[in-house]
Amino acid sequence: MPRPCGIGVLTWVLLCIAAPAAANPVDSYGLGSRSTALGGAMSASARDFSACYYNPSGLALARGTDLSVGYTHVSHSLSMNGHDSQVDPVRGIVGGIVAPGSVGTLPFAFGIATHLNDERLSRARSARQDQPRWLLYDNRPQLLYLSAGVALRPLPWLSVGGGVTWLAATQGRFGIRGTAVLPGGGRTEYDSQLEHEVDADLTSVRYPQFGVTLRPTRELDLAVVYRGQAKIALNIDAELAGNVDATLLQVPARYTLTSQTTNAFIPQQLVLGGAYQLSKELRLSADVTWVNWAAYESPVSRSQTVLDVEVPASFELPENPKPTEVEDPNFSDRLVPRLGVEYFLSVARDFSIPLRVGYVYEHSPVPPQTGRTNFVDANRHVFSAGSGFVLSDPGEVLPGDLRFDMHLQWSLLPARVTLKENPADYVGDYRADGSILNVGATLGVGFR
Amino acid sequence: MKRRIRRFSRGFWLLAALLPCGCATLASEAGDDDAVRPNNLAGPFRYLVRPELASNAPYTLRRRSVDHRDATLLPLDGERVALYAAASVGGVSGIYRFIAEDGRSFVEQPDPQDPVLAAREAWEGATLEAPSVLRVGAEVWLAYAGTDGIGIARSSDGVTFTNATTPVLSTQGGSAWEAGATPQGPALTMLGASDFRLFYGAGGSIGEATSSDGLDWTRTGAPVLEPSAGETFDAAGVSDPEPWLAKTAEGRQVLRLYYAGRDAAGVTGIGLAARYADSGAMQKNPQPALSGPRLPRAPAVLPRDGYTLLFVTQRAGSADDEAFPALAVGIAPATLRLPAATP
Repeated sequence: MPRPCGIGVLTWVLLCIAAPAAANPVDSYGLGSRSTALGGAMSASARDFSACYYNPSGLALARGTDLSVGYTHVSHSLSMNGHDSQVDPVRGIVGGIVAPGSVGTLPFAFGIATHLNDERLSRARSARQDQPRWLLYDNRPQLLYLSAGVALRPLPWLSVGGGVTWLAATQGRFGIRGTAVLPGGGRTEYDSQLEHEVDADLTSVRYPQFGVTLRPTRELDLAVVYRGQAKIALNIDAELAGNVDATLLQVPARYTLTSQTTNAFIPQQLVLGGAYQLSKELRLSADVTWVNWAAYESPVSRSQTVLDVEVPASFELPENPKPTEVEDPNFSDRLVPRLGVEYFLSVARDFSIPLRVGYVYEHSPVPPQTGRTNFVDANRHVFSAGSGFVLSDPGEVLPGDLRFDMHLQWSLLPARVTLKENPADYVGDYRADGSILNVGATLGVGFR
Repeated sequence: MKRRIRRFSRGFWLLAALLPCGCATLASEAGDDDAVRPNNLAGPFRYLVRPELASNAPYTLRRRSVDHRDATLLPLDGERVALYAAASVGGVSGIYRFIAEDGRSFVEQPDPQDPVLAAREAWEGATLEAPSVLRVGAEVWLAYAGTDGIGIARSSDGVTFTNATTPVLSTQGGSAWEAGATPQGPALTMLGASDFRLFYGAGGSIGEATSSDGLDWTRTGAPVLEPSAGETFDAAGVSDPEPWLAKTAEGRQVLRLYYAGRDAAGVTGIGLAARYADSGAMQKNPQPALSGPRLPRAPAVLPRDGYTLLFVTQRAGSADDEAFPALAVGIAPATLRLPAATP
């Protein structure tokens, strides 16, 4: 079917396809209600599906097969100069399984965990580097997350594990061929004869993770976790080739665009953590995470366009845009402290209510945006709380635990003021602040 | 207790079954396309198109032999704006005044019919150029260029101006960088009650003069804006200054200066420079504020609520017989689309 088209339309479409993203929803908001409520201080405490992310070695400490499913909803209230930035919400299913067994006499476990966005598996959007946007909350969480891990417990006090995480991403190519009719002489653009060609792939990127848990005493767990770096390079070649039909004039035209983008970047991380069981009811946990944001690559497209067309001298054509000069984002590494407190209120012999609180501080890795770039970010204080219930041995069909956990996570991003060095900057000074609300619930079933 | 727990457990399984149903919806479009992002409303500009201007877009005044050029703007009441421009109406050259009810669609018939200012003094020569209008208390001042320099005419109503008997800036007393060139393209502004500034072009650079009363002017010495090095749009010269005193979103005062840049091939474009301080050299934005094949020059800025209009003088068209000057209009932010022009 003939369609109207033009260079502007093609460019717009391509720019929409070629786009950046960074990190993943689990890095941003946590995985599972218990973990989220405890501020993500879980490297020494994760025993359910969330261990696939927080520490794969925790899988080998599970007491039995464990199934979890839940839902999480994150809404952003982020603003610039008092105007809502309309950052999209993140909502999706979380869940996974832990299946313990043994290799010879060694305890062994396999686990799988996922965060499946219910709106999109992946999103890639492009923006100019001078366009203000919340870089870490824009495309960052709009990714499918799938992680699988295995763990061994060679000694009673030592557990080791490793795994692989997959993230989904898109790639695409776009092409138009044929004749585009200029309106006039009784004809409209709808008389154009054009062929469209779209080639899009849903791809994945993988990165490894490893973890170790030490249990020097029955009350104390210590953990070390490493998560690898990953990035998706997105290269797009697009072409519009054909004729422009101006009734009396046939003008051959060729428009090409090449775009190279770091579509997704996940920084490597190193976590040191510990958890102490103060009493049967009370457990304290703490993590410190080093995040290698200094390795962050600019998400700005390096694009080049060429318009090759021979027209009469009286026609005015725009100049070919100059290739993008992408500036180094100069992000810096950060240390993220996490604290969690968990208390079990025993209501009956087989029914208890967990009470959880957590806190995280994420210092912004983004330097002051006093120059051309406008990667908007602010420091983030994350307060979380959660509760639910644990039902032990509810019946013969479930010889184990039934758990229901809810979480409420509220992030405060205090105002960060950007003052431009160049008074002739077209964006100028701005103030960015906001909050993020994350609510969700997870249902878990543990078999013994 | 056991029964209560079992009852609770049944309800719980129902809730668990409903959990995944919460996501049985279609994905929505990305929501931030319409978000209001920080923007100084100072550029880059795009040209207006129909129906933002009723006809001849991006031109608001375009007529052969009238040669509308060198606009300067004076907001009136409400949306009404008066535009002063050099023109030749009915064979009479001078500075004319035009009115637009919507601030951008100017009526071709000048109001009043006669020029508000025509050459009368000897120093002015035959033609007046480059008007720059400024409201000062109850008066309207109009700086303009004549053959021997820059003069300032005054009016109580913005319609009847009294010619300056002598130029306030001429080759006399010129700085070394002016190389004896006659000051041209004046632009008036006020930084305070008794702090008047007059920007002018000379010898391919832009200079600044100060005055406490608008009568006696003192050049500041070094140029505030010079051509850029390298293959830039303003490598060969800068001229036609247009100041705009504004504040950033954080309340910092900034003095912006639009200008016409010219490259080695003679192609012109509109640039933006600015400074936070009251004095000193301007810092440029390397990206032109407006460019195009019809050689825009002589910018005039009109800040509005939520957007800014930029009026420029440029070729009336690309054909050989359209080389006469006309007044075109641009808008920032470029993503904004104005409602249809008032006929």
